[in-house]
Parts: sequence; C-alpha cells; structure tokens
Amino acid sequence: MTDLSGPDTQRSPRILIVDDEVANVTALQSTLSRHGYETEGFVDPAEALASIERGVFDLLLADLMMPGMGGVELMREALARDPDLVGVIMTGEGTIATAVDAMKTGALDYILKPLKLSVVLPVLSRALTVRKLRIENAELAQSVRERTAELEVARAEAKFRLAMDAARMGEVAVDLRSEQVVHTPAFAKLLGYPADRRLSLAEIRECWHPDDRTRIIQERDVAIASGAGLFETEYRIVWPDGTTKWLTGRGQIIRDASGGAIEANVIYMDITERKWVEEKQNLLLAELNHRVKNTLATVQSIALLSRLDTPTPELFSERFEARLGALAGAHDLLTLASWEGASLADAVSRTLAPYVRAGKGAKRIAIGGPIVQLSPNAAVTLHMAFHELATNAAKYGALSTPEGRLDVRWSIDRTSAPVTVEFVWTERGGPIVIPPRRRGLGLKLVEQGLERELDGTATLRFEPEGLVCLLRLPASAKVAPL
Amino acid sequence: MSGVDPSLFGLRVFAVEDEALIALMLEVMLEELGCKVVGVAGTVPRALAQVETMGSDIGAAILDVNIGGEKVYPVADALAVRGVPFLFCTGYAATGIIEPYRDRIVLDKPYSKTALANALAPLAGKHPERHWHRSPDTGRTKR
Repeated sequence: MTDLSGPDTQRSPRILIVDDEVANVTALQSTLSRHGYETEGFVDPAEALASIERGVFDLLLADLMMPGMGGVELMREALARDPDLVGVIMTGEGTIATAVDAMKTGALDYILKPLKLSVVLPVLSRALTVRKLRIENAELAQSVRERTAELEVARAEAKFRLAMDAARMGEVAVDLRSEQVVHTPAFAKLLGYPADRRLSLAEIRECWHPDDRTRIIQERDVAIASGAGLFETEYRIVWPDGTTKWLTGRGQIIRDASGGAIEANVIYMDITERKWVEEKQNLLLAELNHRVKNTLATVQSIALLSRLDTPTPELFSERFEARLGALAGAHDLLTLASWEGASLADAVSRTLAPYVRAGKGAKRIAIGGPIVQLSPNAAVTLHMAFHELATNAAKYGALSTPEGRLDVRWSIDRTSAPVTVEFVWTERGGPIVIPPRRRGLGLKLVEQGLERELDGTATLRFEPEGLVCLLRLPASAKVAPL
Repeated sequence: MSGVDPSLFGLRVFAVEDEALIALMLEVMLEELGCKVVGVAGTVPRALAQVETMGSDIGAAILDVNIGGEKVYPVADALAVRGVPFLFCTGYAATGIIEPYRDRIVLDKPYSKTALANALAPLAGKHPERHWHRSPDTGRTKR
C-alpha cells in the first residue's frame, strides 16, 4: 500500500473550510493555498454542505462551535454525502471533551485554536493520507467485487460447459441475417469433426442426411415463422467418415423489437444409441408378432387337420387337445434355450417322456444319438411328428403292449454331401402291424411335412413285426449336426 | 364347408410354405376350394427347381415371404418372368414386402379359407393363358 499515486495525487488536494468567523476562513484559505491546497471557504454550514454535493473534496476542516449547525452535526451530514471525506475539527481550549465527541462522529482529528501552522499542516497532511487510503481501499473493494463476480460467471460457465460435455451436448448460434455461426467444440464433435474445428453454416448443412434435408428445412422455416418458445427437432446426419448419426436439437429463435428473427440458438445431443435401441425393440416386437401369428396358424392347421381325420366330435377334442399339448411342449423346449432352438435328443426325449414315466416304459424305450441342433421351426415340426408317431405307437404299436419295445437312434452320415442325419424309429414286439388304408394327419406330417420342410426324405415301413420310420435329413441351418 | 368359388375351380396352384403343418392345411383348403395343388415347396431351392420344371403350367402361386430364414423373392422373380400371377402370405406386417412387389396381394397369417379364396380370385383371371386342371371325364384340356 505504499503506492499512493492515483487520480487524487494528480491534482491539488481540495479542502473545504467552514468557520462562522470570516476572518478565520480567509486566513486559512490564503495560508493553505500557499501550501498547495485548493480551498473553498464558507461561514454557513448549509452552504458548505451544498458545495459538497456539487464537487469532490478531500478534507473538511470545520469549526466546532458555530451558530445554527455545529461542527459535529456538519461532520455527520458531510459524511452522509461522501463517506470517504476526511474531517478535522477546530476547537478552542477547554472544549477538548467536545472535540473527542466530535471525533466519535467520524472526524479524524482535531486542532486547537488559536491555529498554529506547524500544527495544522502535519494534521492535514496525515488526514490527506487517510483520505487517499480510504479511496484506494474503496477502489480495491470495488475491484474485488467485480473480480469475484467475473470469477462466478466464469465458474458458472465452466460448470455449464462440463454439463454440456458430460451430456455430449453441443451448442450452436446462427446469425440469421449474416449466416455467421458460433458453436462450441462439442458441437463440432457431434458432427464428427475434431473439437478445434470451426464449421461454417454451409459445412453444417453438408452434414444433413439427404433423406432428412427437406424436413429439416421445413421445420426450421416453421420455427422462424412462428412465435416464440422452444422448438425441437430430430434428424440424421452423416459424419465425414460416412457413419450416420441421429441428433436431437432444442432451440430458440431470438427476435428484435419488431419480431424479426435475428438469431437461432440450438443445443444438440447425439441420440443414435437411443434410436438403435428403439429400432431393436421394434424389430423384436415385429418378430414376436410374427411368431404369435405363425403359432396361431399352426394351431389353425392342427384344428382343421384334426377335424378331417377324426370321425366323431369327442375324438376330435381328444386329438386336438393332445396335439395342442404337444405344440405347447415344443414351445417350452424352445423357451428353455431363449427360442434359439433345441437339440434332437431333447425333442425326442420330451415327446416320449410320458411313456417313459408310465412305468415299465423305461426299459423298453431306448433313445440315443450324437448332438444335432435344430432351428426353432424344425424343433416344433419334429416334435409334432414324434408326437404323432408316439400316439400311433401307444394306440396300435409297440407302446400298446407290455412286451413292445421302441428304439429311437440316429447317426450322422459324413460320407454324403451334404452331411446327412439318419434317424431310425423302430418299433418291435407290439401287435402285428396292418398297414393303414389311408394316411391321417400324423402320418402325412411325418411323410410329406418333414420331406418338404427339412428338404429330406421320410419313409414309413409297416413291417409286420413293427413300424419303422426312416428319416434322412440333410445338414442345414434347420438341422445342424455338430 | 363353404361353397366352391367357380372361378377357382381347377386353378393349378403352386405353394411355397416352409412350415409343414401350415402347408398341409393350405393343401386341404385349396382342394376344398376346388383348386388343383400342383406342388408345395418348403425351401427356396426346391421352389425354384419346381418353377423351372412346371414353368407357366402353374396357374397361380402362393408364396410365404419367409422360408426357413430366406426370403422368397427369387421365386417371385422366376414366376414374374414366366408371367405367373402370385400372392404373398406372411405373419409379418404387409409393409415388409419389397419393391417391385409392393402392390401384390398379401394374405395375413393366420388366414381363413374364405380369405384365401378372396385373395386367389383376382389371380385366377389374371394369367394370360389360363390353366385349367385337365379333367379326364370331360376331356377338356387346358385352354
């Protein structure tokens, strides 16, 4: 605080002298003028106060005892007008107590009358120093206040930027008359450019996805033409590297007093991931819808075909419900593997489980073969075909007598092209087989159905000692041996 | 049994359907409508081979859009080249059909026999040279 240079030191110190005796005022003015002070003198305290309001004084030198308004009151009034003003009270001997009181009201010092120059000058000089310190202090305080406010603004700005960056938001302002663009580094990144790249309006428009261009322009024109308020937009852009991204923008049109659009301020965010999830969800819903409809069509087929090969309504219900149960079983099997498929062994075991559980069955049913993975549709169809074969066996074949045996085995023929799954269903020990006169749904499904759907061959041999079903299924996406 | 639509009687229908049970039902429905099922294919290669063999001997075709994970469009192309009318059936929404077949009839699964008949009827008159099933007792041959 040693540097006291400032605007105040560039000019002479200004001192206001108030004393009810004109001679005192005149004497002080001439003496102090000679010592570099610029002075103004009054005998009337009210006039002195008016003068403080007009101009800036550094010091107030006031007589304590004056008629009307005393020095103490003057000092208080003067400080109310200029808090940095430094006051000095002049008083005669014997009234020091009053002078002390005066100092309590804000005067810096007092001088005893009669005045001696050797006393007055050092007191005034010291008062002047205090005045300078006060002014400097006030300036510093103001500067600190301003700097603090600046820092707060900067901190708020930094926080805002951090939030924008964290949310991967980019901000852009377009002057609608000059088409000049100001944008944040994050905005350049949203468009696939390095953060330090400054983009022109033409370059930004270049990013618009060709299919969304017309809509973007329409929406922009509507926003500019319509009233105030926020507008929202969602569209695709193409990065310089060719990737397509989705952006969502929320913005505002700034208008002049007559309502003309001056500037567009928009904050953008990348929503590619959200769009991707939405799209995936829609695909899943479409797929679910497809599967449900296909399943309904399958149920419809089972109903129609069951009606055709059953003579009585009672028998229809029984067969239809059994087939519906088999279809449900096939779906359970698929649900276990998230509808990605099932193994041939599972499809066979699940169909035959009721007969194995029935007791003695475990000994007479043998199932075995290498791992073959089935697609969901193939698993359903094979499951249904096995259900028909098992029902047939339980009614007329090997599973209808305690002595009957059922052998279900498969192997993989790797010498053929393509590799083929050879599946053999052999019934033995049941009643003597009489070939059926006509094929019901069950046998049709095994023969025609499997041949068509799995592109293989199916042969049913009604041998007297038991039914044999031979399937040759070429390896494919539907039937995949490991 | 609903009545047989006379315009469908004897129509030679080829079907591409990969699901065995649905294919069997389709066959039954077509026979009940008086159509002659000239072939049912469960895979795209099989279907292409059959179109190749039968050619324009097919009066109308019913194509399931999704055949074992493949799209049926190559079969549609082969039929279009031969001037054979066809329709699509699908469990997916009709919006899934690609150009240039967007204006073709799409039968939504599951479909009733009546819906099948209604979808087939416009195809029955469309073929430049209409194919009738050879009927031995009348001696009528395809005209």
